[in-house]
Amino acid sequence: MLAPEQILHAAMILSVESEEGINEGLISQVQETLECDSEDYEAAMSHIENHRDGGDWGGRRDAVLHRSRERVREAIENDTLPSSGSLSDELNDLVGEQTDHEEIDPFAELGVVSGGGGSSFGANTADSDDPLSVFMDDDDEEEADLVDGDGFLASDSSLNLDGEVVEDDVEQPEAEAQVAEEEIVEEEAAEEAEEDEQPATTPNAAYEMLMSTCWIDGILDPAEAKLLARKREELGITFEQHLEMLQSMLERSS
Amino acid sequence: MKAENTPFWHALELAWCSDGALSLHSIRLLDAMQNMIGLSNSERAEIESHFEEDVVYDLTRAGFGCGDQALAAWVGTLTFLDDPASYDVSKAMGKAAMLSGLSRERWLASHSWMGQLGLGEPYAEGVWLEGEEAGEIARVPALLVPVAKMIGLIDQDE
Repeated sequence: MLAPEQILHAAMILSVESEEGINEGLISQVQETLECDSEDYEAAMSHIENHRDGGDWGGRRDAVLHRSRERVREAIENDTLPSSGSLSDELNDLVGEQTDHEEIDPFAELGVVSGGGGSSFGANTADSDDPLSVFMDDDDEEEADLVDGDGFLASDSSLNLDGEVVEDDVEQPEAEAQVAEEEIVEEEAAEEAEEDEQPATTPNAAYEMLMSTCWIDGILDPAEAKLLARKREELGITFEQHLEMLQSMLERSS
Repeated sequence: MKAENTPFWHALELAWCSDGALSLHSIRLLDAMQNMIGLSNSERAEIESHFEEDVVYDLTRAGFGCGDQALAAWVGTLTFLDDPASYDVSKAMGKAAMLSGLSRERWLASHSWMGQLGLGEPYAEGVWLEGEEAGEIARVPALLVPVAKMIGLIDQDE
C-alpha cells in the first residue's frame, strides 16, 4: 500500500512533466483527498526540483514517469484516489496523456526469468508455463518473414498480394541450392557463436539494476529495503557485497 | 559488540526513523561516518543488516528521508574524535558512569558504544580505575550524548 505522500509525489511528477506544466488546482485536490499537508507538498516539490534535471531525471525519465503512472493508477484502483468524478477524469487524463512507449517488464530488464519454466528468454519450449507462447512466437516468426524492415510486405515473401501462400515452383539448379544451404548453415553457426559470446546477466548485475531502480527517486523505503533483502537471499548476495555495489553505484552517479 | 549498542546504529536510527525513508544524502553521510570511525565493510554490513531486520521492516514511510538533517548534524560532531581532549573526556565519562552506578548491561552497552569510536580504552580506565586520575566531566560533548543517556548521566528526555 502506497503512502499518501508517495501518491502525491507521483501525481506532482506527472503534472510537472505534462505538456501544460503543473496544474496547481489538480494537485491541490489530490493533496486534499490524500489529506497531505503543505509540508508534504513542499517536500515533494523540493524533491522534484532537486532531481528533475530539466525533465531528464538523470537519464531515467521514462522509468520515473512509468513508476509515477503506476502509483497513481494503483491509488485509483484501491480507491485512495477517486475512481469517478471530475478529479478522476483529470487524473486519468494525466496518466493517459503520457502513455508508456512500451510496457517495462522489470524481470526482462533484469535478465531474470520470470515464472517457473526455467527456460531462457526467447526460448520457445513446449513445456513453457504459457501453452499459448508456442503459437504466439510462431506467429511472430511468420510475420518477420513476411514483413521487411520498413514494415512492407517483403519481396521474397511466400505470400502474394492477396495474402495467399504461393509455392515456389521454380526449380533451383542443384549447385546453387547447395551454396544457399551452406550459407544458411554458416549464418546459423555465426548466430550461435554470437549468442555464446553474450554472457547471461550475472546475479550481481541483476541486483545492481534492481537496486538502481529502487533508488530511482533518491529515496529508499521499507518496502524497497525488503524487496532488496529478498533478492539478496535469492541471488546469494551478502550484505557486504550490497554495500560495495551501492557505493560504486553512487560513485558512478555523482 | 552488540550491533544496537553502537554509534553507527544510532546514525541509522537518525537516518531512517524520523519518516521511515532513507535518502541518498543519508547514505553519503553514513559512508562518511564509516570512514571517520574506521568501521570495516564487514562490521558495517553486520550492523546495517541487523538494523534492517529489527527496525526498518517495521517502519512505515511517511516522508522523503528527512532524517538526513539530524544525521548531518550528528555526523558533524564526529570532529570531536580529532580533539586531543577526547581521551580525557572519555575517561571522565567512565568515572562519572561508575559514580552514578553502572549495571552490567549498561557497562557492556556503553563500552561497546565507546569502543566503536575508538574511545573504549580511556572509558574503561575511567570506570575500572575508579577514575583515580580522571577529572570531572564539565559538559558532555554532543557526540557522546546518546551514550551519556544510556548510562544515566543525562535524562532520556533532555
